[in-house]
Amino acid sequence: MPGQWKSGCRVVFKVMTWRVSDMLTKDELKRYERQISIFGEEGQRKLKKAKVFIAGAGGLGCSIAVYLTVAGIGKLRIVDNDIVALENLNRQILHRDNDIGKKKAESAKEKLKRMNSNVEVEVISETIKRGNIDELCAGFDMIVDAMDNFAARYVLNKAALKKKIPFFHGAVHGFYGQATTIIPGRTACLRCIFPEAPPLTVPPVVGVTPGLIGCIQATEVIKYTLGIGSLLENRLLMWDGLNGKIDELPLEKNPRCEDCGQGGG
Amino acid sequence: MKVKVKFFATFREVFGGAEKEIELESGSTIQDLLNVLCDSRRCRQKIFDRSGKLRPYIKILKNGRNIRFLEGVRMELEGKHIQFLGGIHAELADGDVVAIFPPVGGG
Repeated sequence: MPGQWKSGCRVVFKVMTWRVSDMLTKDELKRYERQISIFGEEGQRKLKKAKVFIAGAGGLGCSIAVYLTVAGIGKLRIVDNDIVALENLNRQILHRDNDIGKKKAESAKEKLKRMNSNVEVEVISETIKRGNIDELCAGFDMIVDAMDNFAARYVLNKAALKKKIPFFHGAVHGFYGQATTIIPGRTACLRCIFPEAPPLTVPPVVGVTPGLIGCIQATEVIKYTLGIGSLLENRLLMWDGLNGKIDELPLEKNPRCEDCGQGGG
Repeated sequence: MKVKVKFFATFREVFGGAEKEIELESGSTIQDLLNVLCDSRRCRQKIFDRSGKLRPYIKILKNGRNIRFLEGVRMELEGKHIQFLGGIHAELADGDVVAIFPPVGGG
């Protein structure tokens, strides 16, 4: 029948517009069933195509990486140069007692692969610096901040601005945490928000705080990838775990920002 | 006049709460408010450096606007030049809401 032939042609055409690697396998359709019911197979394919750069495999990094892995992000690159130590284990949930002395990036990869083998997890044991960041994040669509100091965060901020890709900021101290989503050209950048770094200290941290802030950052990555909901754009989410309170503060671009304003790049 | 001050992150511990209402004389500035708030040496050290300047990483919003961005704004209104003093010298008005916090930095 001519009608059937026509509809057959349409199906073939649609299949051919996807690359085979973007298609969902039977296992993936089952694995992600409960989230495909929210954003459809099309959404799941978007996640599968996404390439996310996670800067750090500590408290925030573990939480971010776990949830992006189980959500089915196509490719993760995790960069961290630290070695697992006993005092990390109260919050860095991918590392175990028998990982002490191993590279954090390697230890993280080992667990993530077992959580979801569909996800390509690449790790690099290097310290993120101005000199290597462009190479480290080349080919990635998003940068997630899981650093523990502002000097490294400013390096990530500049790289995101240069590549015009989103930068998902998160930071913690004790029971307090903060998060915001930076979209170059559209929102304040990290330097607009925090022009100067606070003094470098070893902050107290309860594991639940980076757990929660990392989950917020991962949520933002998923929403951005799918193009749904409202991102934390020009909004700083402030979490106070001790009092169980969330506040939101408005953010604005600094017209004279040295990183994204007229004075900068 | 009365202004509402909101503290965030570790400043909730430094200033003993999430919110305070402060009575000020009319015409008071952010600097005057900080002087009233810093009633102990510990508070003062958290806000000001040794030379008495506001620590550069502390963020202060007046009614949701970063006071640093308000610095030195000149405007022409009905043919008259008006200069708004910003930063720590920004004037406060009755009912203003001021938010004060340090960035948290751990990961």
